[in-house]
Amino acid sequence: VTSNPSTEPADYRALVERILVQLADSLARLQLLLEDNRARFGRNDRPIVARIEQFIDAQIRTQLALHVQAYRAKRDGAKDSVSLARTAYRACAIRSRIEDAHSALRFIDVPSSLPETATLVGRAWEILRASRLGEISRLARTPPAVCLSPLLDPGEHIFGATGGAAGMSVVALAKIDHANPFAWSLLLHELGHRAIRELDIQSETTDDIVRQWVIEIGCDIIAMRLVGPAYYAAFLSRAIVDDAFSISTPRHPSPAVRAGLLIDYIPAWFPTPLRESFHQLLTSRTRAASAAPLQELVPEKAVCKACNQDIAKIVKGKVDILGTPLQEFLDALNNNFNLPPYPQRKYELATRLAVELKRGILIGGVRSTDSVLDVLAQITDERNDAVAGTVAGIAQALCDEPADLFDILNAADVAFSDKSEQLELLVSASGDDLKGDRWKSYRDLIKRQDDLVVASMETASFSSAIRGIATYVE
Amino acid sequence: MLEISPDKMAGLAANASAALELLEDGVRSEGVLRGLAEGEEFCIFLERGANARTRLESFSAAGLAAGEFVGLVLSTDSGKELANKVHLVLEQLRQIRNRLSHGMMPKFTMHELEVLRDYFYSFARALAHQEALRERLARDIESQH
Repeated sequence: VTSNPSTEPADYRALVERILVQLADSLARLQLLLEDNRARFGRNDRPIVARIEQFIDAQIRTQLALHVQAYRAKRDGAKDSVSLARTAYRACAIRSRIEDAHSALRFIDVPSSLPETATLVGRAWEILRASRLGEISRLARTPPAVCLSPLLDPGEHIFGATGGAAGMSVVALAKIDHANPFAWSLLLHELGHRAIRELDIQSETTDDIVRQWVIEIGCDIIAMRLVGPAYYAAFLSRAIVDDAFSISTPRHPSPAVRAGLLIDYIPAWFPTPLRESFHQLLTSRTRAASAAPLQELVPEKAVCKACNQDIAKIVKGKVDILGTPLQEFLDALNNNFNLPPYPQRKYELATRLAVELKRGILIGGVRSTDSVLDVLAQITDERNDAVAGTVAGIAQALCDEPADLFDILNAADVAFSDKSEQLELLVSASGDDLKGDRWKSYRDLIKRQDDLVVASMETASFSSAIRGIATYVE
Repeated sequence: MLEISPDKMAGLAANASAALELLEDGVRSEGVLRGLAEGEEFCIFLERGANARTRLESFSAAGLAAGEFVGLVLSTDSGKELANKVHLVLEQLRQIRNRLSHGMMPKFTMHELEVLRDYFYSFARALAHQEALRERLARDIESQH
């Protein structure tokens, strides 16, 4: 509640760049999804696929190209910042069309979810169970299952709860993100919903809306503590292209409110330049909507069809009274979980891994920072005793340990947080309306990044599994 | 699903506004032509909606949807003013697109283009807000089941 983005200056250029790259990535991933699964389409699917492809193609060649060209014209010219804000705001309209194309994927049964997604969810659930204070049995042993959904936002579903039996929990990931590990940390928010429900952690407030809101924010904080800044990066990238960025509903506080609150929960050790860039992005997105001088057309009041009440009236002022109930709810969470924030030393390790990832090297394994020579020197000094200990040291210095999946996600964010290469490729491709080889190169770049991170996660999980077997045999 | 629906009016207006802005900067591309065409589509919906409101025998689903949309626009004074200009705006857009597709420059001053651009932009902002709210509510309700 303490964040006040309105006091900061806005950097619309960085905002437009991030929005365009985010939208281009989504359209590229939609195209890749259909192309990669072409062999699986039967006679029945092909007309549907052709229609979706045609639609995506039109969005890329005309709408995305249009907005990238507008950005290029402004970047090279001397337009004012309001003009850039206008481009940012307008480009967001593409998101609802991506949503349309994505929802049509429900008519075809591709793709399948990758096993690494379930491994990540399983690992997070394991940590949540282990961090539970008191009777651990109250959190079910089985992690939620993962499914792919035609909706862009992740969600949690429960089914089969009958006669006192607990329901089955399934977390849904957008089909477009099946091979996009940068979005997977968003699933951890959904695990929070399950944990809060199973432990029956409730807010004591009597306000129904605030009660729903604190659960949502509580889930955000659980996800943030599990995976660290990678969650914030994923959340913010989604939020800035959302038309509903500043819109709250009785169930969800707006992405603007959530992002504003969460930034205060980013661990204090988090590098200042990155925190500032998050803050800057949030500030400029919050202001983009109100920067333009044309505000005379005020939309009609929206009424919730379910409760027949004026939405603005319902949610108005809730942010101001959120503070105390939220703090009480977070205290209740802390009383149930010993879940410390993602530690600095792990982030430093992730930063080290990011250097390799950027060079195109798999980061499934991580090695101790001790050099083999140092350990050998120790053998010479301590030849008489502690030989067994130094042998273990050599082994540690020589052999890779499987990397932690959350570290890999953070490393991926650090490695690819600089979007300038992508942006330049996009801008140059917009010259030929995004239909030539340069657009293909852009897509290949996205695919290479996704594949590298997924392969690293796969290697790390395989290596852990093998190690588990070895320990068991020993 | 893949057809343009009145629900996506904000997208149409946003693209028309971007196309007109690029035109001010001297850009000619397929995207600009498409954006102008979307602006025309927007105007046609707005007109159709106005008709659906005045002629009750017009009962097509699209007509009703357009009517609902126009109801939203006309609920404000400035919206009424904007809706009244729609015929003129449509005519101007057609002139511009026609000349562009024949490789000619549009006969419009920078100021005129700017006014047109702002016309669509004001719709884009107001409608996006409304549509986003509606979609978010629908998602909330869906996720509860």
